[in-house]
Amino acid sequence: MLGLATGSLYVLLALGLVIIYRGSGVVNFAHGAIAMVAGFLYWYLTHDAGFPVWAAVPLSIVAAGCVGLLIHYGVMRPLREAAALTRIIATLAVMIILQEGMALIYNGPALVVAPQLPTGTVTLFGAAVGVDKLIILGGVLVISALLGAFYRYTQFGRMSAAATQNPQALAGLGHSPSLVLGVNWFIGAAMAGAAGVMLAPIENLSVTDYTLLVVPALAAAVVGSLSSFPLALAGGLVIGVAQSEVSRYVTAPGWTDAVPFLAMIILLLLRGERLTSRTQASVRLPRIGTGRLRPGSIMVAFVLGVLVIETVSAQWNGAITTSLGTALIVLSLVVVTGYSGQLSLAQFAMAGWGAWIAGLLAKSGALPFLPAVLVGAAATLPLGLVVGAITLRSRGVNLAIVTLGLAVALNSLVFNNPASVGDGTFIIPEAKIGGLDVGSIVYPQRYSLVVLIAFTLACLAVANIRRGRSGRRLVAVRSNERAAASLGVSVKTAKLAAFGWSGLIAGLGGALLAFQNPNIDFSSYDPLQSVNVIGDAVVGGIGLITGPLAGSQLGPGSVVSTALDNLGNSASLYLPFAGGVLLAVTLLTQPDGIAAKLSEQAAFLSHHIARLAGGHLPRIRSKAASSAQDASGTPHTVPPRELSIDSLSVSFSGVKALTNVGLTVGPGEIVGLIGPNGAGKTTLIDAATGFIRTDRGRITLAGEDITRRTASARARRGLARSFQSLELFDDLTVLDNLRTASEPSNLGAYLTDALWPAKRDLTVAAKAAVSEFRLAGYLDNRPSELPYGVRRLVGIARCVAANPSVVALDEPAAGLDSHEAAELGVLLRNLAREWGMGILLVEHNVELVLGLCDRVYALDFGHVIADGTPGEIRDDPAVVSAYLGTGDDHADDDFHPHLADTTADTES
Amino acid sequence: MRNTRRLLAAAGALGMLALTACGPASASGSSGSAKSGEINVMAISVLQSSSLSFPDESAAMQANVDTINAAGGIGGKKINLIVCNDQFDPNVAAKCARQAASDDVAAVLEPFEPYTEQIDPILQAAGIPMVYSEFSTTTDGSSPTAFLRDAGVPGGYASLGLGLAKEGCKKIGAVVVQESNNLLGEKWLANGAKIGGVPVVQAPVTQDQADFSSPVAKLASQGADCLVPDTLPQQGAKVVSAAAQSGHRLRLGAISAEFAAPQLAALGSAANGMLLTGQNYQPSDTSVPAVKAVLDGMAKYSPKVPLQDNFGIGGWASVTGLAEVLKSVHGPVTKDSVMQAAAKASYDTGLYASFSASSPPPVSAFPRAKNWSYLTWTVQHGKPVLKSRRFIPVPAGL
Repeated sequence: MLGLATGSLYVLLALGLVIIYRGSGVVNFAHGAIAMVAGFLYWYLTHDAGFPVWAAVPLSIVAAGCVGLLIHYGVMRPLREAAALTRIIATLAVMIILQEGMALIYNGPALVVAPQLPTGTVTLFGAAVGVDKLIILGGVLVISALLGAFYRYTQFGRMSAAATQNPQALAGLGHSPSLVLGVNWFIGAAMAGAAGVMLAPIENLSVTDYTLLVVPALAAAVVGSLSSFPLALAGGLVIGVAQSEVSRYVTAPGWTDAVPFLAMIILLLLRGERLTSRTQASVRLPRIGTGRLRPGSIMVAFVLGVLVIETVSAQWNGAITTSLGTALIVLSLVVVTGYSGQLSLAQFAMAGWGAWIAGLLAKSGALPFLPAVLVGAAATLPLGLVVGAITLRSRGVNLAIVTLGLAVALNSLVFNNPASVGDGTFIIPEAKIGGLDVGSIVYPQRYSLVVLIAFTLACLAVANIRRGRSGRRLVAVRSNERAAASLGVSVKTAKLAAFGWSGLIAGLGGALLAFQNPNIDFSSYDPLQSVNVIGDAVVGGIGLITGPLAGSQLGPGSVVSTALDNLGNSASLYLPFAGGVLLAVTLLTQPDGIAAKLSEQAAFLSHHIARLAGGHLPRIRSKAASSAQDASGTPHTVPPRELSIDSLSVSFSGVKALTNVGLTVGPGEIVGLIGPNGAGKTTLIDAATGFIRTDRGRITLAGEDITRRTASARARRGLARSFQSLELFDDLTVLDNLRTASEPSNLGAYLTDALWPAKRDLTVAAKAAVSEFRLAGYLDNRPSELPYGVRRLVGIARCVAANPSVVALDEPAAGLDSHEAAELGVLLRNLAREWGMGILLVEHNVELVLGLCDRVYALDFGHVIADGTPGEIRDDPAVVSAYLGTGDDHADDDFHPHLADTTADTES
Repeated sequence: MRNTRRLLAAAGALGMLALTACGPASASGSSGSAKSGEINVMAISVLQSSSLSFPDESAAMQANVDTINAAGGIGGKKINLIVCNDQFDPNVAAKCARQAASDDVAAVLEPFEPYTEQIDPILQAAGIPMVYSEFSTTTDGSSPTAFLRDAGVPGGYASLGLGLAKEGCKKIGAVVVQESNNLLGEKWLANGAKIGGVPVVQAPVTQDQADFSSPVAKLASQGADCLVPDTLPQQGAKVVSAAAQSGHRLRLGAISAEFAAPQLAALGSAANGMLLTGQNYQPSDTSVPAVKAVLDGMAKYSPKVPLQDNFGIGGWASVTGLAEVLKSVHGPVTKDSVMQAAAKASYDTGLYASFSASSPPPVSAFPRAKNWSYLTWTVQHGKPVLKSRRFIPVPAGL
């Protein structure tokens, strides 16, 4: 019974989270902060301004709703085209702004708020329960039911669903998606306000408490897939009961905080997605660096750093150490979030783990300073792998929620558990390296140098990763998981590796920060620091190695903070608030971060200087690009394998997409697949290449049954595909797109790239693809810089570079004019005849199909309605009826003569 | 052109930042300047952060300094108080200590500083005394440069255990927050209660515990008839509310630092009868001359900041304690002369029990903590009522 009361508090917050997610597609991490603001406003109105309760309550709720409107129109609406990652971080920015802003306004002790509800006690099932909590429990039951009905049965509810799923369609019907989203933000934020007002007498009012209350509320909302009110209600109550039972029977501290985290893990493991679905479009993510090293600049920067450290006072050495240690933790985010696109809200917790392990080793005398730090960092790698493994079936917001839950759980189970960290005394010996005292108490300069060296080496390692095979895989996964898998990249392994490395780097940063002081204080590794460090990373530049240096200045004890302290006592107090504002502004105006902007300015300056000097900076061609061009004209053949699809059936939620479909593609054969929209053509390719599960049927490649293989496994066995929507890796050059497809997929690169990425030429197949598709002049360009037709060719060339025996092309001629389509036909003919590649061609350009293919299958409503030679298909009555129309419709098609000439050329 | 201007502006900003960095650390308001005829002291404390803030603490310190300086200072020299807010961050606290060392201050005041584990070694290495400081961590208890005014958390909870035992408790239930820098208040609560023959049972809670009904119910089911929150300051009131709704008659007890005056007022009848123990008078003890002096001084020099909790009293007292030491310094006031004077001083601020720095420590585990005497209050109608103005010494065997 007591657990139900606790759970009802979570449900109160969870309902508002669900409203906002349903209505806008955004998980509002600032939800608890909005509740806090409403609580403070309520207190001010009743305590200071003399408002009666009956007026203060609705005013506070409406004010919270207005905050929601501000968030929508001021932050989320401008970011509507941005990646989900960016929008999640935007809500974190709002959370920081609200929290730190309130801390500046109200800086006293926690407020005890007079209750509005009766506080008597009733005994139910042997437990004494407060009447106020029972009222809240009853209230959430009613509100859940009302909200469920409202969003299910009203027009506004349907419009809300439409506004998130297809805003253009909603606009086409005459409704404003922005207005609908805004209203949902108002309602959701008002619910947060209601929660804040009702919880204030129970929770009391402090600036930070409500922020972390959002974690169990999120867990409750996740139970309902962030969409179901009844399930969120059930989830919140179950979590509350579970926590109550755990606190009763488990004496080891911290497990009550772990309950929401464990609940989320179980749910997401049961529910999670394997790969991004077809509908998840590729959007622009923050810019990432190339990892190219400039030894001269690095040396100059390092020497400058040493000079500064040796020159300034001990106070500034401490600030430099804090900044660099924090920068290491921020650097870990460059790998896991910047490069691989996974938003982790557990990095500071991982830093704390590294500090804890290193501290235990040093405190016990088992290891001296440096080995303890290195072992502590190494011990965080498996933690990173565990986090990565747990979150493999999550992405986007689910991943953020789970990692935040992990940070909360670690904070309770380890960092604030006296059994783990003692009674507050965790004294470690003074740091020494080989007999040389480098402790920060007496030799702060030396300790700063140690941290500077560690940071420099970590940056070099990250740059190496970026330049290497493993870095290309990470970026490919970040850009487009489906495309990466289709080229043989193991998405799972890439994500795990990113988490592993980031854990190691964060652990190193945490250990070095901790050893700065003779007694390690683990309370500073609280979950909110993991949120703050995300903000630091984004402001600095989450994809750039130089970004952490800028971003790490936003925290207390940094160089900038210390400089502000010198301006006056209160100047640095504004830094956290300013950091939140800066984060929001960065997301809105400069999503690539400060480092990117400075890099642009530096490049501009270089060009400007060169121009003033009367010359210009030559465009430097990469060596690999030059090497690729040198190999033009190299003949190539692929291993001959036959693809066989037998009795394939696929259904989605009971709707049959494919029924008993069978076809074969032999070596050197071009097999066409035509049919009207919705016939199942792309579904067939998805099923054949492993992107969707099949209900029945068998798929073999060279006789090997690959029906149950993953997409990347099928690609490694010689079955590649292209996509209707190109799905190129926009963050990589054309050359790197091809490399990602053609490089060996062994795990070794993940281990060795950090030390030094092996230099490899393009494979023979990739060079042949460059030659065949005439891409030599475009290798150093990014796809966004290329004309559409060239991008189409890059998409196909990328498949071909993987050296597949069979390639499935999904509408490769879409968007091409007739001339380009004809050239494409020539290319495909060469691939089949000269390379021996089997091609399964899905196309709406019927003449291209009929003119090019050896055999054609026609699909309609998931069934094969005809198969045969192009001539047989052209005249088949079923095909004519379903798809082609009468022969008169194609009598004057200009394409026929051109294709006939082309076919004659290639066969001669 | 526009980009060039932006670049120049950025370069200019960076240059200004570099200048502030390269300038002497004591060149600005927060670090103070050593004018001739002034005594530089630094106060390091949690003054303001998003998690914890005690605005009346620094206000009280500065008000007392202003009072002393208005009366001519100490030996004709004014006190220059440099305040360093640690922002509730251990690295910032260490930075403050390094600043104190580089500014070569004569003494450091720490009215409430949870990160003395980070600060003490730096100040020890620099030879700077911490005068009339709060006992915050175990390091303080044995640090040769720490001259403590009280026995901190151990003293507070030991006296609470003693007090509840005297009040007739049969079994004490402690709601204990799990945090890494807890000075084991529950251990000292048990030590004090043990002297009175009363056992203690515990229920752990987390820092972000939403509801305290379950731990309170658990303690009541274990037979506790008295309840103590050993929690973060913002959690104490939640424990009281949970106790009121538990359906059990539980006598409440807390250290006085757990509840600020506005919190007690807001709790109203829910806190009636709660026993408070503490080592200093509270702002509500207006019949005590020293408290009245604090209130008058605050009204005169810091009228906008109300004195509402022990932290303000502690801030004022730390300056008074410092003044007593400075008065006994013969010759130039340096960190060495202050260290010597502090080791021999007798402290009688009127806000804490008087004691001599040379007297033996009541508890051998903490040789630097000489003062363990305490006071008791009973809360009535939202206000603490002092039971006796006489400080109660702790018995031997604690």
